[in-house]
Amino acid sequence: MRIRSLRGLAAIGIAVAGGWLPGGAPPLRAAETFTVRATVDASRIGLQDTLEFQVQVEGSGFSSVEPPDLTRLEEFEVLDGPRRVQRQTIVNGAVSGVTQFLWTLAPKRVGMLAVPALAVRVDGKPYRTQRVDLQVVAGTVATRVPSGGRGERGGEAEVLLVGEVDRARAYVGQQVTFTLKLLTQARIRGVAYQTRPDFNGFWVEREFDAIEDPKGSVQGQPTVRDGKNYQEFLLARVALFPTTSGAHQIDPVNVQMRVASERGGGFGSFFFDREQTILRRTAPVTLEVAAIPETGRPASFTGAVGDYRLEVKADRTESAVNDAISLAVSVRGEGNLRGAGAPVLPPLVDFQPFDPTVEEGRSFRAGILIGSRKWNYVLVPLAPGDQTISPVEFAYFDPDAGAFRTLRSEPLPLRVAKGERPAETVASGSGRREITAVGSDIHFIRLPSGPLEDRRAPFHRSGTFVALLLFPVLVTGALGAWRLRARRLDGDVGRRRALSARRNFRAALRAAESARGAGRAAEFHAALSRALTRFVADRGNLSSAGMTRDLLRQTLQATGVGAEAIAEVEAILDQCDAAQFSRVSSGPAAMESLHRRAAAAGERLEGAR
Amino acid sequence: MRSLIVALLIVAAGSVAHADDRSGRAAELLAEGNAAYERGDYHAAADAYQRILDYGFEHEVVYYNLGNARFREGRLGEAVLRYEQALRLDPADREAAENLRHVSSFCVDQVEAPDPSFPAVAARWLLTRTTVREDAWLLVAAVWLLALMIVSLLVAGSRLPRRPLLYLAAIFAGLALISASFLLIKEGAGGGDPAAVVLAETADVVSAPAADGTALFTVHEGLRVRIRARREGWAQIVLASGLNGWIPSSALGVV
Repeated sequence: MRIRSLRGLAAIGIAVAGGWLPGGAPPLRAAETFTVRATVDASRIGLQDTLEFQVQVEGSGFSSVEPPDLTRLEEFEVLDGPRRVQRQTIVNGAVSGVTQFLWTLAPKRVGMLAVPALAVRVDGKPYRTQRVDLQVVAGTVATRVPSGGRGERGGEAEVLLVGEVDRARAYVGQQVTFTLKLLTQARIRGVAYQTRPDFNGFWVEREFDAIEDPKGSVQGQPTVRDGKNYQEFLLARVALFPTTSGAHQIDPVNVQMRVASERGGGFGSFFFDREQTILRRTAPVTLEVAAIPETGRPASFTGAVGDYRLEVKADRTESAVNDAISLAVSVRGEGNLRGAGAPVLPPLVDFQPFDPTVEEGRSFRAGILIGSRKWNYVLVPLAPGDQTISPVEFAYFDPDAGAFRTLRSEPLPLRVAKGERPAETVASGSGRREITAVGSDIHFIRLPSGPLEDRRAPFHRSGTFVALLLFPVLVTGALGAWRLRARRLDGDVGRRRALSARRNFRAALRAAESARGAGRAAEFHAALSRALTRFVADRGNLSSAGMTRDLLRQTLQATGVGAEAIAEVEAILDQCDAAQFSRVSSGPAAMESLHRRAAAAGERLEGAR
Repeated sequence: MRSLIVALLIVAAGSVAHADDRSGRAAELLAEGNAAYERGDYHAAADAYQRILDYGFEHEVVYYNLGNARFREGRLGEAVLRYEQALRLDPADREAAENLRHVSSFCVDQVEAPDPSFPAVAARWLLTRTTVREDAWLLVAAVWLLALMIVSLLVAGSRLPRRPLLYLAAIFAGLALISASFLLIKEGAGGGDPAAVVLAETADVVSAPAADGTALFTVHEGLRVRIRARREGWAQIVLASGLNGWIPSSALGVV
């Protein structure tokens, strides 16, 4: 909505009549036919006040004017403008004109501020305004408006716009109530927002806003502020919930107002009651927001801040397997529940829970947001018997006490009868969920599966291991060698007899010795003769039955036996023959000697090739 | 001769008794450590497990439990070392491998090693199916069964079916060959550059075995390396990525 400030025009009129406002520089003159100048409606304002800034081109000989660019002003915020005003006058046939551009500015800081020289294009040519200085003080100084006798000062009345919060410090999620009030001594005919803060860093819940959503007339209450009487109008109330910690600023609210400025008496006032439009702004508000403590947070804390009550109800106390019941978990209380999670359900081993439906509610009680949330769970009993739904937990942070509170419901008993449908029909439905790991850790310590054996001397490096490996290898090797030898001997009778000659000879010697021990001399000598004869026959692969003395001699000579040894063998055989056939009994000593000689002869024969 | 045998028997019995005594003491300390671990006194648990090792006793379960206790104490480097030692004794120990993986995820250094080829992965999978001890026993059993088959063939001759005996002998011979190969590979694996783990929280790796060597890179506890050479209190380490340099030997634990 464009406005024209009568106050501004009045001030400009004063400025033009009196030359220039303090701090103003002489205007530029262009071809002596028109002037370009900049003016303000006050040389001293408050930080909460607004300023009417005007650029005027006045004179003759110009047709078009382009307004300067104010978007780069650093020390002022442009709230409104430019508003263009043109008029022409004809005096004695000479035509002169005035073109004005008006802006509403708001200072950004306290101190000596300046609107710098600005470029204005007149008929396409550039001209510059002069720089305008002014003083900005804290608070407000330009609160008075002409009131037609309503104000305390006769012709003037004060109008204040106040934006305030109910606390300067808060926790994240705690309600901070922002109230916008109008305190006036004048009659206000209408209000409209010029700008509104965007409340960055807050979750916003608007309780009411009489400016944006008027519902009938706003009733004022008489009040006293700084010793002055006002009518106080509550324009808006907003519940703010900080979402982050740190310093937060609520930017000023700028409100335009239409104020009844003149009210004469009698008939004229009925038709000519005048009004002016003014702008008021609130001071910026700073709020310190603290984070919710990390220590002492219950496991069931899901972000709720405020003061709440918990209620848990089942729709019945008896059910059957696969016959679903409804479990309603309600939380209600002072605070904003929209940023909080659902209460923590206890482990439901014998129930199949399904995702809940959620109902929300909000209302205000004396400016405090009352939030409510209700989670409706469907639980399907899976096992018959007397079941219990363990307590549901809901934790919240109480900002007034600066502590966490945990609410627990009562356990709910439920008698579950055997169902008609098999449990699998539900278990295989959409409610089945994959088990997923929610954490990880190392496996626990353990004990050895058997006796604790030292691994420093491993089994494979022990003698036992080597022995266990070598034994079967050696046995198999030996057996194989034996089998090979036996197979070779099977095809060579002569060699086999030669190899067995010694064994047979010794056996025959033992038989002779046995006969000698028994005193059987003939048998002794026969055995001794047979032993030697067979020994020679075996080595020569001949039959011992046909072994004549000549053949024996030839055989021994063929096997490399020396003549002396042959003679000894023959001598022993002769002695044996003599003893057998002459019937002359030999004494034990002679037989023993003969036995020794036979054994020695055998050794010598064996030593031969 | 008889007195010699008696003396040998006495010595053998003495050594067996000594071994039993050490095993008994080790079992006591293990139980003591486990009890301390279960009540949350990880320092006392680690101390008991360490004393078993100080006795000159080695067992994969002792290394595994000591790794757990060191991890709970926050000593990542030694935890990694102990799990590696447990796996050296029993490469098929899945829990030790999983604990090692979990603990390694907390280590600072993540070295990019070249991706192993499929045959290498398959060989590693095969080799970690059995322990060295199982390989040894498998070899003994296969050799005995092979010998039994050969003896049966030699002695029984035509009284037993020859073909099945030959098939069985071939199977046992193959089994013996595989287990012997596994045994040799696993033994040979320890014959290369010894594996080690960085125990120091952080250590600079320098270009020469001297304190004033140029710093090449920094390693942190729990990093697995190979020791390529040693020299007067210094060890030349090589990372899986190929980076190498010298580090004080005291900063390492040999697997």
